[in-house]
Amino acid sequence: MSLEKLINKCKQRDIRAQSEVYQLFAGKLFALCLKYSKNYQEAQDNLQDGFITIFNKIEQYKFKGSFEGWLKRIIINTALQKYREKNVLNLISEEIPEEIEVEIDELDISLDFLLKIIQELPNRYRLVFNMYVLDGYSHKEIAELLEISEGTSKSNLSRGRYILKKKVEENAFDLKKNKASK
Amino acid sequence: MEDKKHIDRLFQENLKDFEVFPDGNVWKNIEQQLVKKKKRRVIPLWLRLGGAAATLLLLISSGIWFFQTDEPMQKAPNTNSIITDVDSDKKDNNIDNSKDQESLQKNQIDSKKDTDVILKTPGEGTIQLKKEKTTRFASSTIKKESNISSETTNKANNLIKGSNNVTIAIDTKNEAIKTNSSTKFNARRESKIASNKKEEIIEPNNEKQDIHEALKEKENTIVLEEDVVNANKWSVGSTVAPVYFNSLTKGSPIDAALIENSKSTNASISYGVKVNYKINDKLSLQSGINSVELAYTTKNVTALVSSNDALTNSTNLNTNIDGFSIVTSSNDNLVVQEAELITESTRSNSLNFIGDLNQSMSYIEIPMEAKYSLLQQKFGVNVVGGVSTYILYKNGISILNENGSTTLGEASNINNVNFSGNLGLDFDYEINKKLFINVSPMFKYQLNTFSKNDGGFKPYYLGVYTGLNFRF
Repeated sequence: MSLEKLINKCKQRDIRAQSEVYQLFAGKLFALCLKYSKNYQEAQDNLQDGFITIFNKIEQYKFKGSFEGWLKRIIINTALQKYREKNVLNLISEEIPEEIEVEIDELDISLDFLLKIIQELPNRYRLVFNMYVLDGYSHKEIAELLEISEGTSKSNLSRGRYILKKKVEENAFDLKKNKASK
Repeated sequence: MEDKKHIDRLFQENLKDFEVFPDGNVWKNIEQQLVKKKKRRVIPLWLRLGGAAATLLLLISSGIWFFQTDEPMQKAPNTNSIITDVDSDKKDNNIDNSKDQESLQKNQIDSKKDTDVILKTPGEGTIQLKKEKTTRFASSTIKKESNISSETTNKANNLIKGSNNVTIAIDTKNEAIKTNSSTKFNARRESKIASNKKEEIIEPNNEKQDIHEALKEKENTIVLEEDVVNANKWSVGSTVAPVYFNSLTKGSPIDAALIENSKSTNASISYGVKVNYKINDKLSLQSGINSVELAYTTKNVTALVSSNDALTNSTNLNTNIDGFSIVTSSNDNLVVQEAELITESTRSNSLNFIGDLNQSMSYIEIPMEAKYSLLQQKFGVNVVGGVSTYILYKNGISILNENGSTTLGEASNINNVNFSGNLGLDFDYEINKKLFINVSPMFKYQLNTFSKNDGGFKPYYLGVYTGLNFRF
């Protein structure tokens, strides 16, 4: 069945079509949730809430733009929603970031490790880093979505980057030490 | 192989095709919520429809009453001078053409009266418009106004020329309505105007003997016309239904000892009349009056009649006659009347009835329901929801065995007024524009049949209502 047909069936609340759409996109969208959430449990909650929003609002998807993009925006919004409610995203400091480069041994970097250090970031850094670096939002869009200023968005990004860099470097250093001691 | 790399690139490259499959539980939860939502969506609609039905009916009937009594006479603002001017001009012309001086005067009086009518009718039109809260109908008002002016001209002509022209005038009026791209809205308005006019016209009749007949004729035609114009708003019909009364749960309202006995429904009948008022294409309200007998049978009951006081006492009897008992338990919900059979029988001996206990209740039912149309063609499908009020007029308990039926008395725990929640479907088939038949399976859940000790009996009944209906 074509995706378009499937979407139209979802619009008629066909549970089988809904299940198929879920099967098609759950993998990507859950990965997205994992990046935006503190932990596995929160990611699952976001995925669940996000999919319910998706199926309830699927009439609003008018086949303009990619369906996957539309799904991603809803999932990201769901994740952001929780933090917006808690109002934890504002940070006063507004330094403008410099370029950060890290020295790394690529082979030693695992995906799990990268995900782990993203999740460990404080909420305000994690969201901005994800949106700007991984999902292509501009600072202006981020500022609007998170209800913060553009300056805050920029400084949160640089602080996030800085923390990530340190962790990557520490990890590399530990790995080297381990190798050396062996 | 050490490498210098921007931190963003590191994450972008590594997480590009990142996919993780969530637990199976996640989908289960989603599915559960989706299904729940689906169900939830249906139920409140019913609740709302049912509740709204009664309120709406009340509002509409009081509204109709209000319009019919006060409004046409008193609530008429005197705007719309343009039309009046035009009309009086026309009338002047007519009057000039007239030869007879005496009738001219009469006509003048009459045309004044008519002008009054015109002043009022557009005024009422605007009130109605405001009530509808739409500007959409502005154009129709204009059309209507032009109709009115032409009507009045016609009428003025009629008044002068006498009864000969009445039919012609009415014809033109009908045409005006027909050509009026006649939306129902317009049509309804027309009829309202017509009826107002009718009321006004009656007054001059008393004074003018010669015009009297002409007007009366006209009045009649107007009445007829009103019927045509109002078409399809109201319908009345007969209803007949076999009803099956039963309980959702095990239980016996007669006696706790009978809870476990098997019970069966006695097919009985409900009949009455139904009135339906159509609010719009989708929604209509219906009420009516039905007679309904609800009855069921409790199987294999042993009833004991004895003159032995000791026995009566020990079995906790609460009856008017000596020694009646159902098996051995308390039966405080049964008031037993003097049964003939008992008096005939020898008092000294105890008497056993073994048979089926039959309880029946007869009510006058007044339903108030909303009907929502799902499919509307020659064959229509509707859903119906609402409430009914029941007034008890007969209540009896009898026992049935091989010797026949014996009346035992009546239940003391049945409320005189009872309510039910109604839910069902309604299929109709149009025979012609005026007549249609309908078949409506209904489920009616009884809310407070019993005042006390219902013995876990949760009564409901099912009925398949069929009827022949007449639209007017």
